[in-house]
Amino acid sequence: MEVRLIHPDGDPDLPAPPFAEDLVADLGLAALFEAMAEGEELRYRAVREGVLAAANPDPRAIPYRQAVFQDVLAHPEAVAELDALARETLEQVQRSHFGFTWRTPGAVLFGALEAMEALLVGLRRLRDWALTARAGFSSPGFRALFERLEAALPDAFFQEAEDELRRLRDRRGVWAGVRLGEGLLGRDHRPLAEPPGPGGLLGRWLGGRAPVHRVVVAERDVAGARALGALSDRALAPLARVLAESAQAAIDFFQALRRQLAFYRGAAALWRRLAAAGLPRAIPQVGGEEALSADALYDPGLVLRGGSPVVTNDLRAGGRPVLFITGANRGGKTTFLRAIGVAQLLFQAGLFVPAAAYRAGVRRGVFTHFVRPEEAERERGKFLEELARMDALVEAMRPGSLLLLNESFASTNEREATLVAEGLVRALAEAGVRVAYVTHLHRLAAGFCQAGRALCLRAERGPEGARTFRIRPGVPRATAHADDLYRRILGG
Amino acid sequence: MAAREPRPGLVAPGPVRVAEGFLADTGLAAVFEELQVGYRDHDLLPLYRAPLVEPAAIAARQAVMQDLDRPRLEAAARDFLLGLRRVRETLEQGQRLYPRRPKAYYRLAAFLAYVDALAAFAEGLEAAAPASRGLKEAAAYLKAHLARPEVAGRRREAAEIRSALLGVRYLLHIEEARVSVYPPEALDDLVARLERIFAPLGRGRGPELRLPPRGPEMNHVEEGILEGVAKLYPEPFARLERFASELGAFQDPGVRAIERGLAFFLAYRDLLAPLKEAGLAFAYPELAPGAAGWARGAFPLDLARAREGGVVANDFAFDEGRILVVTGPNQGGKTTFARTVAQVHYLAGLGLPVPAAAARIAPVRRFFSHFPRREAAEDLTSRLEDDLLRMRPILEAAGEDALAILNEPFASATAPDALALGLRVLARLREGGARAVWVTFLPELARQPGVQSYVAQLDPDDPTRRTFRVVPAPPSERAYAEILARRYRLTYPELKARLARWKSG
Repeated sequence: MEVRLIHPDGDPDLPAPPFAEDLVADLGLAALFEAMAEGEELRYRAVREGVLAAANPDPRAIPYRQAVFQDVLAHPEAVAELDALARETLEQVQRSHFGFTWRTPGAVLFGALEAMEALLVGLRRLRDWALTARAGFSSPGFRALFERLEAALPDAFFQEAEDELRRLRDRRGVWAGVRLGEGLLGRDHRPLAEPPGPGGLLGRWLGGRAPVHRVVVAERDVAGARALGALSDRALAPLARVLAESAQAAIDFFQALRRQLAFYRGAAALWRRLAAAGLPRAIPQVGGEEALSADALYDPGLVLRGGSPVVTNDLRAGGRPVLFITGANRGGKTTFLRAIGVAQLLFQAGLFVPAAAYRAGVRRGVFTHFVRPEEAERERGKFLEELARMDALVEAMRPGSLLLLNESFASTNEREATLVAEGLVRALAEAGVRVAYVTHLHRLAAGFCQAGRALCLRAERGPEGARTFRIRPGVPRATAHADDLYRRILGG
Repeated sequence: MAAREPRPGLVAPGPVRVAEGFLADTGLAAVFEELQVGYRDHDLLPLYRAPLVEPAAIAARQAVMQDLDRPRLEAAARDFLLGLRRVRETLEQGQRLYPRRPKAYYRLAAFLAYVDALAAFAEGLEAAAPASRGLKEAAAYLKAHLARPEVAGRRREAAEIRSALLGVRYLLHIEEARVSVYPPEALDDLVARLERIFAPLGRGRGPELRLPPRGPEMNHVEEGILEGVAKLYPEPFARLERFASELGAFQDPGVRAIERGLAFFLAYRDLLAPLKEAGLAFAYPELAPGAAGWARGAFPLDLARAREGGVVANDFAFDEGRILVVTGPNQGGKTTFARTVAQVHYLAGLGLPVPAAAARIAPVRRFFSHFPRREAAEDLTSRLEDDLLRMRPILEAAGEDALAILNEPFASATAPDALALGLRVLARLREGGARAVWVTFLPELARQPGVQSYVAQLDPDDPTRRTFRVVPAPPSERAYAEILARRYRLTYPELKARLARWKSG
């Protein structure tokens, strides 16, 4: 049984992308995940996994999830009930003796019996709940889930399953069909149903079923008791395996249900949090390969960390594969770059975006290469380290990836940095990578923008040089003019 | 065992004996040590320690090995060895067992496994039609052995008994303190029933079941059950016990000889397989007369093995001069090169493919090595004396059929002394016509007449990197111990080139 709330075809693994830790640190995602989790550990894991995996999304899942998310937003109580139902069932299972590894078949069978009893109760509740609650849901994801539950779990299933569990519990010993194998040892022990006819020893005699031979283990015969146990275990093993695997499948289902609900519940929590702060939210649109435009885009991390007032910016970058962001220090450039990265990840995760409107193409891989200017020291070792990291990123990137660069190569002098960055950005852009680059390398940015190969944005300054944190289109201004003169004339 | 068919000797030890230390010095000892792993039953070392010198005998072994290059024949030979090993294991198991019925069963099973292995190999050989005389004779011998009336008759009998026993069915009821044996009965399969009922849930990860260990030993509960099974089916059990008591020793010495011969080849094939996988080439050397010979793409087998194929291949030839003098940087691959030459010649003498892409080799009757001795005396005079003493047998036997590997002899002498001694030894070797590889620091030696100079190479782009390539070239006077600045791993042009590659890929 599959939940299929995050993908129409199944419950896929959501592997973390390469350099996931960098992504979290550079985009400030931890604050985002914490706001989504609201203190629930399971939810934290689910949103972290879901948002990071969105770096490499399946484009088909995006509209599918957007619909599920809107159902979750619309029915918070129902979704909470569903989650509670799954949670309670799993808690019951945990109280059973199921799930310890490396145990004998007899012990596994006993535990699986207990677990299965609890799971059947939970499955019946779930199906009944779905029958009454489903009317309010409209997304294909939820509707298909409820329909599958109803079709797979008719009353007859519960009846038959419960009867069988009772028989297994009440059995006396085990009957097994055996074949003589190599070394004259018994093999292929197959557990069989108890023979029909009058019960008990006498009955079997009367029914014409008489043992040809009987081995009785004496009370103090420890080795004999062990041998008998081993024999019984060999006969019970296939039974234990089927029941344990079936129980595990049901457990997996409830866990997947909780995990997938948690992903959406986390997004809904963030939605409410941003709404409370009076900030816009948008269900994004999937655009063509080239598309990238946003209205009132912002980094939700700012408000979540309870810091400065949020500044929103518009962005129209369609058609140009490279974006340069230049301008004053502490002018909001890094925040803007983060806003782009966060929005793209949330969009690709099939959730909402912190903006009034967002339209973008799906990127295959989101990567960051951040050097915080205050940390960048001009030393050889640092520069080599930067190159090595870039080297690893290039290895992981593919055409269609998105690369966010923040002051990359600031650890070397401008001439060298420009040389390296120019070749890098050009080669990447030609190979189909989208690059957004916050940089002080004005000549680099100007070169690209004047040739029409990049969009240049600038952190704006107010009339008295005050920082507004707004990012506007603009060719980089050579604020380093004086610097240039100094260098040209006096050197250094 | 009365009839005496001819005993096929797939592999007989050759006449060549190697000087002490040669195998260890050249890395072959380690190779042979490894070759034995998995073949300890066969006492292979004496065979590997005695190369051949007669071209016809070498060619005969090459022919067997070439037959085994055909996957069908190799598989048949491997199955044969595996089968015979199982026979021995089965017999041992049977001897360890105490209860009489399983003990008898193991005897019967061992006999059947033995004749089955022989028959399967004989058939496999016949079907694949080997070209070598060795394998043809082996096939004929096995067929004759199986056709003996006492072997064929017993085989039929044993097969009948086993098929009557195996697959016999019975029903058990296992309870708390007892187990009852019943005749078989068609009852509902509980597993199938559970699978059907719980099918809607699907299947999750399986449990880690702790199953009781299953050896060949039988405990007394199982013995008791078998008692019951024997009551259900008395006749085959009676036949089994009769058969086992009448069966004597059945392993044939001629078959054992065939097995050992195959082990000689298969052990070497085991060693080669992963290296071939890693892209290394092996060649059957052509046999040359006199003292000529060359190899292309030769590499050291011991190192290739240790480094899983990561070795550099080199060429060598005894044409312009029979003495190859190797100079070059420390740790640049000089000794490895010398070892490679020795290995190629030695393995050629064993009739095995050599670690080279192609080779033409004149068989060697006397193999010598002269390596610095770690345990040599501390004071230099006596160490030099020891060096000279060890040189004596080499010079005395340094004819055309000898190969000497000299690794920095006289290193303990002063440079002028070492040169003077070296020149004299060199002249003696040349007079005798011996082949030699001489690793030395003295470039003067490489400029002597009748000598071919080989030099270990450095990377021209990065002189700090050794390439382990050794090529014919005039000796260099340069000091190699220069240390140059470390290069950037990622310069601008490198990064550019790399991105371009990624784009096209």
